Amino acid sequence: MSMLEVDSLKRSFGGLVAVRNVSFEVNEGDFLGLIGPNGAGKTTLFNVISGVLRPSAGTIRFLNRNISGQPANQTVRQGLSRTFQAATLYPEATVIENVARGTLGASLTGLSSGFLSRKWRVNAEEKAYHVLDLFGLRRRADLKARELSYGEQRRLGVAIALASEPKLLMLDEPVAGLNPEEAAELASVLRRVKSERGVTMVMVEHHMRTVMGLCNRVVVLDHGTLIADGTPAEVVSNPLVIEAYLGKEAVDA
Amino acid sequence: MNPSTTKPMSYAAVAVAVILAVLLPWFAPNQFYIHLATVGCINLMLVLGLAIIARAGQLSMGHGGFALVGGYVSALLSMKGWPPLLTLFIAGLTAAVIAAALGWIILRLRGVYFVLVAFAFSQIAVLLALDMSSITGGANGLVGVPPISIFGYVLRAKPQFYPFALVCALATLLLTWLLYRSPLGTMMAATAENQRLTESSGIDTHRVQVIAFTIGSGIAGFAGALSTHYLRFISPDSYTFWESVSYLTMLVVGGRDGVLGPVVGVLVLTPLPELLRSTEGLQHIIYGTMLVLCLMFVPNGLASLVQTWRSRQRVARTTTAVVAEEVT
Amino acid sequence: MSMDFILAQTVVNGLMVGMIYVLMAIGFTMVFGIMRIVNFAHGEFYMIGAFLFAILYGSNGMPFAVSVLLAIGATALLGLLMERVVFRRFRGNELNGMIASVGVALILQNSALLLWGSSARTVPPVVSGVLSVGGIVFPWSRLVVIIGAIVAVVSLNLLIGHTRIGRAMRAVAQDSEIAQVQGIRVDVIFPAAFVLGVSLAAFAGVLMAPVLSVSPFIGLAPTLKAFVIVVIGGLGSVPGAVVGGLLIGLIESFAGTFVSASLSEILQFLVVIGVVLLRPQGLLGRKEREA
Ligand SMILES: Nc1ncnc2c1ncn2[C@@H]1O[C@H](COP(=O)(O)OP(=O)(O)OP(=O)(O)O)[C@@H](O)[C@H]1O
Ligand SMILES: [Mg+2]
Repeated sequence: MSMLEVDSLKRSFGGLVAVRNVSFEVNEGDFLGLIGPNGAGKTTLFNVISGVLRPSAGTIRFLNRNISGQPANQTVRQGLSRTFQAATLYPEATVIENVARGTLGASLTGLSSGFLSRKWRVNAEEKAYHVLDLFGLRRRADLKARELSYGEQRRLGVAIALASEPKLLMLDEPVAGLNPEEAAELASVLRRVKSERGVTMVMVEHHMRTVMGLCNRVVVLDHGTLIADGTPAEVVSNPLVIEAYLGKEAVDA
Repeated sequence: MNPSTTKPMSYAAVAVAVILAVLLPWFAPNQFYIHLATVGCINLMLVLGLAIIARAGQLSMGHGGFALVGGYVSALLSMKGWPPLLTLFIAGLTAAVIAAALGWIILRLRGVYFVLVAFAFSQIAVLLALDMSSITGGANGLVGVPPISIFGYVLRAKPQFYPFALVCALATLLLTWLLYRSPLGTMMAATAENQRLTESSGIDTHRVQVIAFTIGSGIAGFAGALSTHYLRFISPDSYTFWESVSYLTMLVVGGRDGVLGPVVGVLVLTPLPELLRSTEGLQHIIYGTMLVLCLMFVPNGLASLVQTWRSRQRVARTTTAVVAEEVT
Repeated sequence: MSMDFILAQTVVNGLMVGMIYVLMAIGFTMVFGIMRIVNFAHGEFYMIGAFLFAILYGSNGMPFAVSVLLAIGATALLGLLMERVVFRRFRGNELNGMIASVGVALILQNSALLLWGSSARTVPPVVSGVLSVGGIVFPWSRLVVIIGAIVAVVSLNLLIGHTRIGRAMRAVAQDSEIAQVQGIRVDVIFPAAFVLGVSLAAFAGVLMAPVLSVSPFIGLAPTLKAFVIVVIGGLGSVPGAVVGGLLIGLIESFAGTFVSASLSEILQFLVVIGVVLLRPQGLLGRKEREA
């Protein structure tokens, strides 16, 4: 069943068209890789889908609902979360508080609740500890987020997004800047999240080894245009893709 | 020290402070101290209102404007014969409604715009009070505002008014504390620290900020009204831009993070203007200097000195725990 | 009095006040554009410029040109001191920078109050007489303010557009990190921009001193006006400040003459809300990068 349908999506900044007429689908259970050279428009595509930016044209449907141009917070509550390319967290809050804040949007009944009882906090922290366990961060729970190592901060960023209990999780270069062990560790966490929680995922990633190891399908973006869609093996042997990455001569040679 | 001993200790400290505040009229050498304490209670409410707005990441330079609106609303209604106990709440509600409308329009934009609009609003409130002299008495203000009476007991003199002001201030303090611990308060803090991430966790940060601005300004309206019934007088000069600045100073000097900061800021800075009444210029210079020095050297306020000390202990504890775990 | 006469006076007054606001707004927006600080103390430098001029020229009878230069120079030095001691620590920190500027405003205004007292001073007119064009008379005292302000704005534009330091300032305003990489001495540009902004405010104060009366409390209103104009015209835009300043000056003059002063304030407030809602980047501002 298709979970996310992107149809003829376009986004421009002044004269620059960052995303041009892009259409693709994400099916339930997919682990979709989104690759493309620097500046191809991958982050912009994420921003438009998640509601951080408004589309210039085109539609986005999530779980058969039109979510084009809808504010980000509403999209998240419907089950679509995303992470940011840079480590994005609450630097002065503790690790457990970071993840607990991530649970609030999804579990909330109303803004006026929880004034007298502390049950909401117990629940939020219980959920948050589960997520921390999954990411191997439990023993860091009481440190401030800014005191974590870079690798741990990246993991925490994904943990916060997962705390909102998404059905579809979109990750923007989750392993960028991590050393090989950290990258492998995060990859195995993602695999576990997918199998244990049944979360469908979309991942932007430059690191081909990670993409090949995790994704069942890959789409390729170049200069804002979608140029390929297929299994990882199909995509890496696609001449258009090789050209986009290596330049024209590489193909001719 | 571990958390299980910290908690009862801070509860005890709070209890002692409240008891001291309640007993003040019995050991105050003269009425001036009671007056000072009453002004402190009113200031505390105003600073808490400002703190709630700051908690969600915004700075209101028009806080005095809402107090002014509250003061006039309550004064005018009670002079028409409405019971002051009721008009106090109407005053708070009026300020809150204006804040909600303004905030809803303005808060989706960058912080700088919000600062301007709140600032300009307070200037207009002053101008309107001056200009609509048939209703507001113009520059002379309104004299002879009725005192508050509770079931026929009239709060006319200082020793009678003080307990009421203290109850209002403590109630505000309690509400603020409950708010900070609630999901809404948590969302406010999250919004202030990283609005984009909070939005991406499914929280409507615009709404959170509007609510914070509404609550904070509503409290300002109530406190402005309370002060008006205490002094029995209000004029356009009662809450100018410089009053907004002094609440901001108390907040920054005390600390923006919890409920302790406003209390500390009010305790440190309320006595100053009353003691230096003859040289008003000097008092403002001291305020300005404290504001600048605090921002430079203790940007989280005097109350943070306590918190820093506590969290050092906490970090020391967790790191030893982590090290122990890693060694085994 | 004929309608023509009143209209002409209203326009001249509007242009005069408007040009003063333009000077204030340009300095304000320069400091914001380059240091990212909303400077609530900006109007206090206007007040100090006006005061120094009133003391030097009005009370001590110093020659006009000497009084102008000394008043602006001394205010600029004070601005440099404030930049070195306070503002430099807060550049880029919008929230705390703004709060610190409020503290500086408190200190400056009340130091003036302690030093010079609260009573208003008047300065003898620098020029007298009227210019009459086609039967309508314009007082020279006001025309001088307009001309002085125009000269200042034009020279500033030349400075920003055609000198090395001007180009460096524009680069820093656009992106201080990239400017630094390009070899621009950011640590020189910040104080230079601040002092330039302060000098413009002081000059505005000097120009207005003979027209208004001078007291320690005259700084807040032009600060608010500068802020309003900058938001209307677009944060960081000099042409925007000119358009916004003249617009506000004329609204103030016309509404003030024909209706009431507070109506003009309310009108300006509505203009701000309208602009902020419909064109948040300001009338002549460029859109900021989203997300
Ligand atoms: N907010 C914005 N305003 C203007 N231009 C933008 C904005 N965001 C992105 N762009 C431009 O759009 C194009 C695509 O950028 P985007 O960040 O989406 O690429 P990307 O594929 O994520 O690149 P990378 O691999 O480096 O992360 C780039 O040319 C970029 O400069
Ligand atoms: Mg990207």
